[in-house]
Amino acid sequence: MNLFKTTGVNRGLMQIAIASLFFAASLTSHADETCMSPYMAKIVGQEDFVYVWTLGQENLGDEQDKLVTIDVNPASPKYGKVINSLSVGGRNEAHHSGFTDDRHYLWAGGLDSNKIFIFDVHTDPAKPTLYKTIDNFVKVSGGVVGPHTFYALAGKIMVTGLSNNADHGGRTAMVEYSNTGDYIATHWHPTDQDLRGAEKSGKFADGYGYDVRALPRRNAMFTSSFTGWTNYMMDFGTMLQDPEAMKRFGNTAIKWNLHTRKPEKIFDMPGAPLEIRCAWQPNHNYCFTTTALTSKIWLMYEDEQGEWQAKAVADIGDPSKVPLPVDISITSDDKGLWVQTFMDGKARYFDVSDPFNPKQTYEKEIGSQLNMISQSWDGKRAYFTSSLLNNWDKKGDQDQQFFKSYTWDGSKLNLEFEVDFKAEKLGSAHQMRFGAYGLYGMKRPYETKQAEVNSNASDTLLASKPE
Amino acid sequence: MNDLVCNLAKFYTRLIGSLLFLALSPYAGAQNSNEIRLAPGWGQLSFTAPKPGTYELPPIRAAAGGSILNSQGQSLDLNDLLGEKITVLSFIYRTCDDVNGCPLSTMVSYKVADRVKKQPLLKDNLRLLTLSFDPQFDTPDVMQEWGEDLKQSSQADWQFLTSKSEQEIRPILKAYQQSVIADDAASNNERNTFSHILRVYLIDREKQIRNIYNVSFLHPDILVNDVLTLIQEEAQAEQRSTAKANLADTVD
Repeated sequence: MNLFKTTGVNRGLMQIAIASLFFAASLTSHADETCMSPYMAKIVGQEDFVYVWTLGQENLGDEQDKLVTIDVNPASPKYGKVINSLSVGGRNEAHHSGFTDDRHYLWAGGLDSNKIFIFDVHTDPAKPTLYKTIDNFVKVSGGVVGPHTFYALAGKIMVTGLSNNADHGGRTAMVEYSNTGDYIATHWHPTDQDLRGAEKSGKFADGYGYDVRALPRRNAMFTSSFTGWTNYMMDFGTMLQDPEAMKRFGNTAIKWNLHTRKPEKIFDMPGAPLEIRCAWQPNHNYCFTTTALTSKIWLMYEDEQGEWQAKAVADIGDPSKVPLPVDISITSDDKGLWVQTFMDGKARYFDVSDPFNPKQTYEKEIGSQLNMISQSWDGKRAYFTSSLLNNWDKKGDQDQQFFKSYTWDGSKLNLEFEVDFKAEKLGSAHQMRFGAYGLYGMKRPYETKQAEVNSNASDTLLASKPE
Repeated sequence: MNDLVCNLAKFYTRLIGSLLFLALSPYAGAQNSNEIRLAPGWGQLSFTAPKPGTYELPPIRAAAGGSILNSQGQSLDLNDLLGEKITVLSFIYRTCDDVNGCPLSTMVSYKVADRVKKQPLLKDNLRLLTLSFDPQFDTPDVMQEWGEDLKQSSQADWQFLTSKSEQEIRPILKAYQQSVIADDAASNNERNTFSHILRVYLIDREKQIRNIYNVSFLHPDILVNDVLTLIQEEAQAEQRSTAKANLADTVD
């Protein structure tokens, strides 16, 4: 970074300024779940809440999808308890959620109903309210179905779709909204019929979509690919026995120009690449994803010529047994990658210090099935939930539905508490997001010990940090 | 250019003072030790900004107005300053000491203003608005002096604005979803401090917000190219309109 060349400012003065900046560096820190958008306001210290976007289950409680709030601050008298449950009316195939960049609102989607629920989490972060429901997603987007990922951009939200209303297959688009729900644009994924200017680097240009992440410093955005409505709403066992259905999974990831929203390069990535997690360190120009059906860790990276490439870098478990890797989470120092495998219910920790050679160093069975993970910025706390999709979750006794809170000491996970979502008559636990009083300038309603530095409300600042 | 350097130097002098103030404050001991990371806007862009006119900037929503004061102390509506030119609106407070907050925003505006000399197209088509949300200390006189320091030899249309009171600026901040939280513990008789998300807004002549920038993507190269993209868009719309009128005349 050459400040002098671009500003023409007095060199000596600037050197003092920079020295001062680094002197001041110790005053500021940024912390957050490690999988969130770099555009987003950051939490410093201990999170107070985990919001769990939960699928309603038939014959369980009120049977509705709901946003469940769990108190996760050890200093709170309500630690480990469900402190709020906000039902949204009916079942929508509740799936993923994401904050706006100011963390004032939490957007949560229904893959079947195509409804998007926008929750106000800033007026009272302990008791979210439903601010707005978007029920014309398919119409305004021009036929996109299955709102999946909600990814914060500056003052805007990028919503990935999974399907379309023409054939309910996997061809889809990203849909861009303002933070308050104004539709802005639809960005269709490139296909063989319309590459939209993108380079097809391999055999596939399927137009499928799933997750989205960005590296603003490289003006890069990445998407992955899953399957369409017909498959994700089908019974899992039935689908596995249907050879035609099994052909309808995404085999691509795409590198986009973040600023222009144009696709630039399509990578072959066979077997449904799902969650994307980009490295945080300033010179780490790469992102990981994992393929659900082929059980591999993939790396998308910028080579020495500045060209973006993709490469399979490790197996996850025994791919022949299809452990079905689902959610992943990168540590804030980019040295570790948690990979959850749904079928065997295991959390697996990979050392990714060398991103081209990930090594699994730890695994633990969390439950009969396992999907999502959220970890704190310092990596000392990790939360897990169980549900994948209503028709894909296991049956009978194997359909455990839980939220589990662990601490990670660097070598093993230690269970702190758990919430049985069936016993509590809540439903199937899915996506988790963190909340905190301090984000909104609020004091916690209980005393915290000063020694508990990470539990002090004043440690949580509203600040957006550069990526 | 010497004047610009001098003015920028004054700006940095204040910044350094602010940083030292923060470093010596009681907050110093309460924070974790992570290195600060300068925002991309402070340096050279690490990629080539997309060329103007090669992309679209779809309207996001209507820009809002509200009661403000200019640096002469005159009351006016923010809405009155929109529409005449493509506008870049920044919300700041003058004593902000988060290097990746208001100082970044002001530095980017400064660099954009400097480019007006090199790109005359910007002079007639671009207005920079720097609006304070700290009316207690950022009075019109203060904004006037600060603005003159920064833009003295610049030919840019760069206006420094404030408001009569917190009650008057609040609705504007809310309309722009500009989150600002006053830090009561740090306020004193000399300065206020606020926690806020850095937001800069690009507003077209139809008073529509066309882009929003934050710390990760605010850079003069990007901002200028976005402005030029809107100028090209206007020119193309004008050409289409003229062609349509000519066609109508021919048919008549």
